[in-house]
Amino acid sequence: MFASLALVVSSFAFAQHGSPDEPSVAGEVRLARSGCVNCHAGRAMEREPGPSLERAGASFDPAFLRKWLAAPHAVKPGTPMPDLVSPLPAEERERALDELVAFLCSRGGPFEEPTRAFDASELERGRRLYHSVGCVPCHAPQESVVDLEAPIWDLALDTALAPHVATSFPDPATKWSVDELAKFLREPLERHPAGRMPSLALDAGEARAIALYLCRSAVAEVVERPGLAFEYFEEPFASAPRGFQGAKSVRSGVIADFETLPEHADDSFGFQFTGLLEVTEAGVHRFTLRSDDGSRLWLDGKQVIDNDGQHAPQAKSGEVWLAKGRHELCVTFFESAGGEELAVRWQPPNGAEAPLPAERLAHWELEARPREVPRAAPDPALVARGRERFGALGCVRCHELEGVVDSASKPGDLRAIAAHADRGCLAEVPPPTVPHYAFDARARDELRAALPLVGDPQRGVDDARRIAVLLADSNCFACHARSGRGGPDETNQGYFRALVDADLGNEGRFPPALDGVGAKLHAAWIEKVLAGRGVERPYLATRMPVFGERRVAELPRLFAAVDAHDVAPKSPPFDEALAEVGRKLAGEKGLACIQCHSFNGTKSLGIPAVDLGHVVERIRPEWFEKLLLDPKSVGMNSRMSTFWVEDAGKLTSPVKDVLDADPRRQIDALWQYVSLGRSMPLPDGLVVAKTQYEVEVGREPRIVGVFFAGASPRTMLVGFPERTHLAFDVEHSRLVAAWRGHFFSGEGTWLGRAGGLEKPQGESVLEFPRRAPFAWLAQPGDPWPNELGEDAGYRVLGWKRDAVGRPVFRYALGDVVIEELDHPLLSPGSARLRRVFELRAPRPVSDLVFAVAGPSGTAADEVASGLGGVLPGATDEVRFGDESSVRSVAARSKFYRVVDGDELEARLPIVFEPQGESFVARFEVEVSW
Amino acid sequence: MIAFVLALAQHFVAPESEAAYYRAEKLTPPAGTVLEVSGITFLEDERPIVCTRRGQVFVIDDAYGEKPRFELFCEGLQEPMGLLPHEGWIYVTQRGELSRMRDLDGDDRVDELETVCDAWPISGNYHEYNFGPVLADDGRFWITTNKPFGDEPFGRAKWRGFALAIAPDGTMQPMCAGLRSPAGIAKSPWGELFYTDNQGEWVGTGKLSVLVDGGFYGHPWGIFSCADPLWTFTKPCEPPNEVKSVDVRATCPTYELPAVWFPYDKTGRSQCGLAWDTTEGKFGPFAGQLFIGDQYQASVVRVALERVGDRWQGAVFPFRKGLSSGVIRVAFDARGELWCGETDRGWGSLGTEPWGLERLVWTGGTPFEIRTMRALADGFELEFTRAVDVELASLEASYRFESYTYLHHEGYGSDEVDRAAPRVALASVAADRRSVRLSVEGLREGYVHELHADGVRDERGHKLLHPDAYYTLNALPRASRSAR
Repeated sequence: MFASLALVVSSFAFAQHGSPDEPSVAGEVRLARSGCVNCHAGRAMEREPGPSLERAGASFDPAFLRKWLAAPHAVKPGTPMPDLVSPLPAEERERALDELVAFLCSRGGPFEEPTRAFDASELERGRRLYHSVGCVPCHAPQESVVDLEAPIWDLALDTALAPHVATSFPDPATKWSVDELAKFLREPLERHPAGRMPSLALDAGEARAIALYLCRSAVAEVVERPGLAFEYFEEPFASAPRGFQGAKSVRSGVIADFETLPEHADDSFGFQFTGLLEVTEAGVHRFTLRSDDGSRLWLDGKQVIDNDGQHAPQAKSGEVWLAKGRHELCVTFFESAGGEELAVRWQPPNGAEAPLPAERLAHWELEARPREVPRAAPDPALVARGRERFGALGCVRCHELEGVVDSASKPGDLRAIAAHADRGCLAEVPPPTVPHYAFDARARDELRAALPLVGDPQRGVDDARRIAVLLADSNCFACHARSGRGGPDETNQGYFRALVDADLGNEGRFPPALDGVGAKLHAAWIEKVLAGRGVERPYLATRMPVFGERRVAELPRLFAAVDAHDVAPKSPPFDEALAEVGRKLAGEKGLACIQCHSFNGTKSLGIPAVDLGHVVERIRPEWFEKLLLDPKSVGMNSRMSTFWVEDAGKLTSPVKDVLDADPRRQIDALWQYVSLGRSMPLPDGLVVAKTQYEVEVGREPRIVGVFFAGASPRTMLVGFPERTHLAFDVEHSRLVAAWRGHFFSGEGTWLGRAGGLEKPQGESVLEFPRRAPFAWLAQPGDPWPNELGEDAGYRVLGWKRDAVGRPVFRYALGDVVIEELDHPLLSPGSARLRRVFELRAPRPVSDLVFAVAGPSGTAADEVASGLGGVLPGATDEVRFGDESSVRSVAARSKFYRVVDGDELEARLPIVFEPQGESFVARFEVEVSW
Repeated sequence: MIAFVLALAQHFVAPESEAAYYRAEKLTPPAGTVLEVSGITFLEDERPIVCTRRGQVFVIDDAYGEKPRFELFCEGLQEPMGLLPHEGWIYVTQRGELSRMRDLDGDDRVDELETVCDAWPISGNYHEYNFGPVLADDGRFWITTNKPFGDEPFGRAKWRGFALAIAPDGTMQPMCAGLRSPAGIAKSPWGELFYTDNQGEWVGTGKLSVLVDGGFYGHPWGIFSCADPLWTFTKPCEPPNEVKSVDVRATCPTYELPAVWFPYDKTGRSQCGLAWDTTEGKFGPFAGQLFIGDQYQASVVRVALERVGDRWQGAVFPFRKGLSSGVIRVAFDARGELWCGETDRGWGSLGTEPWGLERLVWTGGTPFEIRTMRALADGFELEFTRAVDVELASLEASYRFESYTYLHHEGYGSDEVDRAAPRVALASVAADRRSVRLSVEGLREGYVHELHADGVRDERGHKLLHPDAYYTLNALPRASRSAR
């Protein structure tokens, strides 16, 4: 029912998708699309130039051109391109095709295969972009939402590279040169300024990725090989964005790992490395980029590390949770001048920090299928005849080309032919003397309904109808609903994605409806949006396209005229005092707009609803009032607050002490405030006094539970009066870090919806390696297991509070119950850390070992000198470089010094003694740093 | 004539207010303490103990006096969302574990905390809150788990959007699937567990449902977890999109319809904690009924449930608005006062404070209210708290009905759909003038029946304090209960 009423317009194929409900509207759209006016003059209509063919030779496979010219409607049903050749006598037809193809191939040619090798990750990127940025609403998806859940390298090869199912365009792999298609996708209006294909603000890398994906069936062979593919650039860069913003690479190749950089110039160069990283264990992976100058790292298209900019060697890390399987890896790196360096390291869950290992890296080599394209320059005589033919058939009327003379006959103007619209192109069986458009009966009816309106002086008066024509013409309805028509249709809804899941429901992923948009938005803002200069919903994956001016220039005026005609415009004079009242209303003790709305880039406490600092530029004051009075009246009933409550039959504000709790007066004050635009002082409660979140440590220790980077989401922070503090990972039963100075300020954990990953906030941070504190080892020098927590046999038991309020953590390893108290110990200069353990077992235990490693990443001299295993001599104290040491204070055994990987460790075999029914071990160690 | 009577009544009788019958008493913690109350219970000595979203637990001394004292019992908990005293311990649900804690030496400070169960993983997403625990008659502790919104820095976690039962030995069993944001769970006086869920994707509007073993409550997020052998019931099916809620069961046999829908904005926006009035009259005329806090509206609503056939259903009534902040927890104390734990952080509320702790105290008067609303085979029976004006209460025109239901879909919340206006054919007042039987044409099972009893007056001409009721009619009773 709904579907039959709705104006369902596919931009290209009316025949398949139905047409607008009013035949004359559909006809007018069709009239423009078919470029009728280019041959039949029409007083009130602009010419409708077709795409430029200046680069046809470089762009199109000649075999495709021939097929296309011979039978355009067979290649692409519904195309406005007429069949000009069929009406010719058979022998002339072949000749005409040869000539036209030769002529077109001479423009901008020759046809080239992709200039660079490409990799699976680029293909995957194109696939994701095609299905999210806004191609699908007009061109239909090429893969199901379910298939898209897996990366392309997890699909069977023939599935991954299958030619796409016919949608609204013929398989680009048989038509386009990849590079030319990329250019067209990036700047469609350059090639076809009057066209409906809009720009989606793709950068060069994105456009090429989509072009590659669309042409994927031209890939002849895919081989998976070890190592990463790289592209090398030689230009003076100042940063390393992905793809170096479309810079042309001078060389490509493969590296096994990041041990050494491929050959490069001394200065001014860049690398992009792409491929697949194999992950064998799901969990949080930590990556580190150390570089001079800048570098960045992406996994599965998401930036994990930004170490960009010009700088001396500098390391930055990032963490990301990765499922088991292969993930798309991309690293970029540039060098401006001076020394250069790039190291890429990782730490998988339960693993040690190490360079990215070669055996985990792979890439796809994709080879384009060589096409049989004549390389020789076409016969000049043939080209010349083609040029003439191009003029004689009237091709030139839609596709203007320099040097072509229009020698086709001139038919009557549109008003004239309206009188006999059952003849010529519109005849059921068109005569051989006219181009064939393959109009079906409905199309003919629609065109006939529209023809009498051409040049009708009344035509422009009905603005609502004009909006319908324009929205249908540019297929705005594929994304936007208006007047009960359009909006994401059910089959495509899954391709409208949110870039961040912001608890906005469908509003977080669907482009907004345009009902009443002219009453809501200032015409100047609509203009900005249409020009691609106004983005208010950065969380939508679907991008607002930029159409050619002639398609949309009228819309701002039309929307205002149609939607806002019965609303009295408001323009209240500025009142500074009232604006201040409005500021208070927006804040925490008022209507609390800050809970959802951002203010000039200062984020809200909750969801990322529209920035109120931009409201004055966008929103009309009278609409603002309507929305606030009754969100239902503008269709925002569920997400926008209805503040007012009925009290004794009257609407009143819950904020009683401001402006007599009168909703209208409060709304006026809020408008005064938002009208300050970019100069709005922030409302109270948005940026909160830091002291509200500061955890002060007085005489007693303080404890806070947090999500902690590098540990687990069950981490307890303990702040001590001695100004030395700890993070203990409860889930993994291990000490994570100790630091000095400032303990904790909780904005990340307690401001708004929060959920931030905390880090040590003080100074002099000592990080303990990511491993379990105890392990069962036959020999103290045996390799330490990488597993943590439950995987390593640990169980969380809880904690006790000792006499002075310090937490004693309790956990079990197998049948051994362990109590751990870590606390600072005052000493001159700065506190040391005392770690007190008591272990209790129901049986004699002799193979349990405790380990303390030096500060993460600090290698001792012994390590540097290449010694490994257990170093000679048991000892009570182990020094880690000059900085830190661990000393056994009360233990029944001595430390072994063990070199494990490239780190020095102090390992203490645990000695149990019988005590009653059980066996007990107590020991204490002291860490100084 | 009727209009004249109504006009007269309005003219002479001053409107009554909620606050005149239920006074709010605010408790103020010491300066510097942020009391975002997320759990309330009472110790054996009847002192209240509350936990907060910042992970602190306070015992309150002299709670009813001029200057209540807040003793810090414990801190360092991760988003505790509920407290339960049991066998000398206080059970508490944190993000990553069910714990129990106790004070051994009587200094009101925690001495030990034991991890009872940490068998569910967490992803590090802020929205992974857990609610409860509730000690069920099966001896297990039940909790409900939120689904995440957005980033999961430690990876996608199982058992989000579930009700989980945890045995005293720590063994966990997932019991119910498809929950969305189940911010309240409680045991009814007769032992069944109920939970509240919040409007959003796959939840047309806020709802109250019975937790049934193996039940599916409509949200597909967590279904993937059910491949784990810990799930011992029928695997929930992917729910159909854009169908009426009453029709979901046709393709998803384990789908559980709510006992009560809370029509959006009319009865609240975000239902949270719930408590049965077991005060036997100390809290006023609604003994045995259910009180539910609303976070957004900073209010408390009232629900009268009844069982028809094998289904729970009933009516929602507005009760008390205008509290200081979003009410996420409610609990009755031994004196029959309703404690409200409040916070609006991250979501906002109509309250003017960011957090708070208040008690609703019955002032002793009887507000003129619809005490309860019961379904009949051909209508409804309304029972009032005061005797009614017989003439007005007998007029069919004193009552107006609307009915509607909700769509089950991925979109955020649902409009009220498939609306109709059932007609009151006959209104007959009982001999004691305390109840009225309405014979209503056009009742529909599975629909909310919204009543406006605007014309009803008590004997002195007072209007109802809340003339509106929202009855979710899951099933029509058999004819034996029909109106005359």
